[in-house]
Order: sequence, then structure tokens, then C-alpha cells
Amino acid sequence: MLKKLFILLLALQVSSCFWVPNWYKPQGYTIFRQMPKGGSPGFDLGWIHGCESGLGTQFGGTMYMTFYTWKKDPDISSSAPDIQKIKNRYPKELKDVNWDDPANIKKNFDDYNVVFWSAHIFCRHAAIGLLQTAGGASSGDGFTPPVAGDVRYDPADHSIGNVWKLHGKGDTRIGTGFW
Amino acid sequence: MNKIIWIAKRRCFFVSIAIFSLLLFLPSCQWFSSAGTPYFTMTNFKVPDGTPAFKSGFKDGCGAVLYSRGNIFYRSRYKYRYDPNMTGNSEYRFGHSRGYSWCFQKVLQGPVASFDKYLYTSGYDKTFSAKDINEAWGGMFLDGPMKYGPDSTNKGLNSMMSVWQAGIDGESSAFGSNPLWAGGAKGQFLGLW
Repeated sequence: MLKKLFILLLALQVSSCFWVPNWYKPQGYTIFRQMPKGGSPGFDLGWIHGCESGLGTQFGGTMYMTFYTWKKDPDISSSAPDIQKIKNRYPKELKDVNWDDPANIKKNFDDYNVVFWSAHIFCRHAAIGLLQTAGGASSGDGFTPPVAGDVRYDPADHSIGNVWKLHGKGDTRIGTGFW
Repeated sequence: MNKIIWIAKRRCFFVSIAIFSLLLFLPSCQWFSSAGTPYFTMTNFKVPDGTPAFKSGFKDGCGAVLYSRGNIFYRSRYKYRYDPNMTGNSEYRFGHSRGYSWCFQKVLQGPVASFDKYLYTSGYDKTFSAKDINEAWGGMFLDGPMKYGPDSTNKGLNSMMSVWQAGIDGESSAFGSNPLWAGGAKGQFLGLW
């Protein structure tokens, strides 16, 4: 009985994450659930693409780059976008766009392009911001990703527990500066 | 009799609690007066003056970076915000961008605010005073290598500059004014500070 209850609770708990894109990836749930609500389909798509692109940079290092990559849609960003091509590419994500209304299409595309870089900057900073809590703010120190070719990755320096250690960047104890 | 005393003591106790609570509450009323100029929690960051759209954008942008570059504590207080209905508003967009970048610099700078913090890569030097370069670092220029400058009357960096200004003979000036203290204001070093 208890076993079934446990499985049911676990299933409910896990399924509650499903509405968040990339919930199973590094920082996926905590970051992607922050996507503003109430935006146009273009806004949502731009935010997700921007965030995935930001997390796929060297800011997050090899681990994040394994899970995320560059996602900016060149057609939506084009000055002369191929509407049909874009419509076919995102049948689910842009299904609520009124493809018969040029103003609505433009609004969605504008939203995509406006929020893309904001999400990109935010998400790449959120990645390195967390990694820096595992040590100093210097390249290759603690979990802070090294600049490519700077130092060789050394697994011995890393421990998952480092993220929560107290004396890294972001020491919250009083008198240490709070950052 | 004992009961009366006990009731009086109890009343006195609760009155004390009430007065104490009131005293605690009254100073917190300052929050009401500063409601129009909100500070970000646990920071000295303030939303600058501007149009409502700009201020709204600034607030959202700054809050976003407090999450992304802040520690676990700040991450519990802030999150990413961007009003989807304001994407077409240039003032909001500018405010968001400015709020993010301004607070980003502040976050990186750390809790010790000093305009000359970035002058020292190894940390802020408290012995330095920008008021008078000759007195900086314990009078290093005044009593150090510059002590016996070419000018017998002026010491420190002034001696070097006075030669440039007045020449070896003391008359043929190369500059219209002392380049070290250019700017007119007393203590202004190289016209910058």
C-alpha cells in the first residue's frame, strides 16, 4: 500500500515539472519556469530559444553545452521572412499565431527578436552565477568554466557538493558581503 | 488580593508588549514614505527617476540580474521578469536593458562602494586619498623619489610639474596652467577627479 502511494506521489511530483521546457536538463526547471507568462507565441518561442542559446555558451561550460545549443531561428530574424516555412517549422509552438493577419505575424516575430537576447543574457548569467558559487570567480576555479584551451578539465577538482559550500562566491553569511 | 496583583501584573505585561510592538511598528512606517522610490530588497539599489514605463523596465531588469548573478539568497528573492505586453514600448525596453546592466556592474563590484575601486586590481587601498596625490600612500611622492626634485621650492609631483609649467629658468612655461592640477578645482588630479 505504502509502496503504491509512494509511486503515485512520485509520479505526481515528477509530472508537475512537465509543463516546464527542458525541465530535466541542468538548471532547466529552475530557469525555464521563469519564462514570463501571458506573452505571444512568438515571445515564448523567442524566450525559450534565447535561454537555450545562452545556456549553450561557454558561460555554462562543457556540461551545459552538452545539453543546450544555439537555437536562434534565422528565418524569424530575417528582414524578409518566409512565412510558410516558419509556419511549417513550428506547428505546435506558433499554432496560436493568426497567419492570415500580417500585423499579428509581425508582432510575434518582433516579440521573438526582442526577448531573445534578454533571455540569452539572463540564462547564461544564471548558469555561471550558480557555477561561481562553487569557488572563486576566476576562470577554471571551482566549477567556473575555464576559457576554452586555458586549462585542462580536472575531475578531481570537482564535487557536486561544491555548489553548496559556504565559502565560495555568494557566501550568504553575515559579514561576508552577501555576494 | 493576590489575584488583583496578578491581574495588574498581567495587564502591565500586555501593555508593555503593546507599547513595544508599537515602537517597533512606527519606525517601519518609513516604508510608506519611500513607497514611491523603492529600493531592491537587501541592496542599496534604487529605481531612478523616469517615466513609469522606464521605471517598470528598470525594476524588472535589475531584478533579473539579482537572480542570475546573485547567490542563493538573492535567488530566493528575485526572478526573471519581462512584461510581454511592453515589448513594443521602447522606454520599457531601454529601462530593462539599463536596469540589468547597471545592477550587473553593481553586483560585480560587490558591497564596498567606492568610485575608485577599479583603480586597484588587488583590492581597494584605504591609504590612498584622491584629494592630494602628494599625500597618497603615506606621502610617497612627497618624501619619496620626488623629495629632491629639480624645483627647490616645490616638492613631490609638483616639482616635476612646475618644471614643465615654468621651465628650468622658471619663466618659459610650456603649458597655460599646471597640468597636474588642471581643471581649476582644488585637488583635481589631471582634471579628472
